[in-house]
Amino acid sequence: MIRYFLFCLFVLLLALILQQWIPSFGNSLYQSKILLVPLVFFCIAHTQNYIATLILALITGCLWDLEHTLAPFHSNPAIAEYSVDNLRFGYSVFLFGFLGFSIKFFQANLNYVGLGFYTIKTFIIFLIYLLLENLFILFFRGMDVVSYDLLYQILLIAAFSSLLAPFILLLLDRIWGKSHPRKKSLIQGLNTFIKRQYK
Amino acid sequence: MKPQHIIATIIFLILATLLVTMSERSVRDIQATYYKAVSPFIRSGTKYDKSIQLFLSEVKSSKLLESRLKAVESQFGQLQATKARFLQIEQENKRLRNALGFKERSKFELVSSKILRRKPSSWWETITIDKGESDGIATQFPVISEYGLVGKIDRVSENMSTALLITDQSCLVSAKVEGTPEFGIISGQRGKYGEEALLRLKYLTKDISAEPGTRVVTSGIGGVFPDSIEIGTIVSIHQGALYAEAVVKPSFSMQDSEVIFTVKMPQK
Repeated sequence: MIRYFLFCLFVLLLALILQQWIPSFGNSLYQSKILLVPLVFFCIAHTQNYIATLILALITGCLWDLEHTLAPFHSNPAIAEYSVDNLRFGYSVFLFGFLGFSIKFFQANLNYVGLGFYTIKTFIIFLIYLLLENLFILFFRGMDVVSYDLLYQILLIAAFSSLLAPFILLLLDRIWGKSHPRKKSLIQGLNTFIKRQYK
Repeated sequence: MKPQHIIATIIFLILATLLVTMSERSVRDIQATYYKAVSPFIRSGTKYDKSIQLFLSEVKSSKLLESRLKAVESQFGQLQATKARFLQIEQENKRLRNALGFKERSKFELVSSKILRRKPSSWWETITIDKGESDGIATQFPVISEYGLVGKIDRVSENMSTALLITDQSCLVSAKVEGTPEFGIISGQRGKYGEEALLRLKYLTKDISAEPGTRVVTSGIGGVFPDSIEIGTIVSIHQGALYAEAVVKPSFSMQDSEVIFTVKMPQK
């Protein structure tokens, strides 16, 4: 299990590197983009136990915030009184921890498996993640009008990202399968893998 | 929930709280190390992104490119004439200043940089540029382009920096409306993209008399941004109960520029 955990960590770091190469889709698609790092974390959370999920949430949240946290904005005395506050470094750790917990909670309470189900579940988790993050921003920066553009962007990010979920689960399964010898087709392997999670 | 799960959750919450309460300086130090480690990937990622963009641009109809070339050629001729006139005026200006005994105002010291990544984050309007600490760039330095103000430097690593664009809600700039005594604070709006990425100039006096099309420039108050750098032009003005607010079209468009300039400001 330690080997699988280390492998998951490696996949997360790989996702972080690949994330640097993923451009946004442009203005016609509301500058949406595939968020590979959260996606990989959500997929891994499906396959790991609760404690490992929390450790990975801590690592993923840290890395994600290192990539995105901005400097404090009240450096200019002329505008200091009008400055807006921003999210602190580490908020993603709470967010990923909560979502990892949610994934494990639903996994324990929903007795249904299937590839489509996993994709829809990842899509819903993504929507919750992006909406929560936006609510945090609204809370810290002050209430502003939530534009339709922003909602479309959230929807598209969740849709594009979760479409990749089956492939990542398949990849995790193929590698995991190496330490659990069984010769099956890709789909058979994935189904066995998914069913095993719900035993 | 098993007891070990409860213990793990408590430990997780303690560690997460410690992370959130870390000092800004510590976060910046870790962030600098992180960016140093990922900068080779960002640079190679940019090459890959550029080759895709190049391919897509080549796919565009040649007719469109031809008409653009003609337009650019005629614009080039006009610019040459304008440049000659500008040089003549500059020399005349210098002569007059010397004659009046004025001290020549120091010009900006600029560092030209290429844009490596546009908007790497989902929510913040930022760009990554290929110049960093080793080129003399520091945080809070203004970033400009040939069109006007772009934003300010937010994060610096050894040979790469991140600039926060004026289209971001949190990039506040003290601005003035040209030709009027009006001052205000300009900022971007969240969740507005492309043509919709307009700025808001707040805290103007209620009876402002500026017309749409009037230029908005930096006021220079506060010392972060030099004065009189173009920010954009007024699109419309909305009267509020206490203040008026202007909607401003930024002069800088993220899609138009490949090269931008960082203004080296005197360090305090």
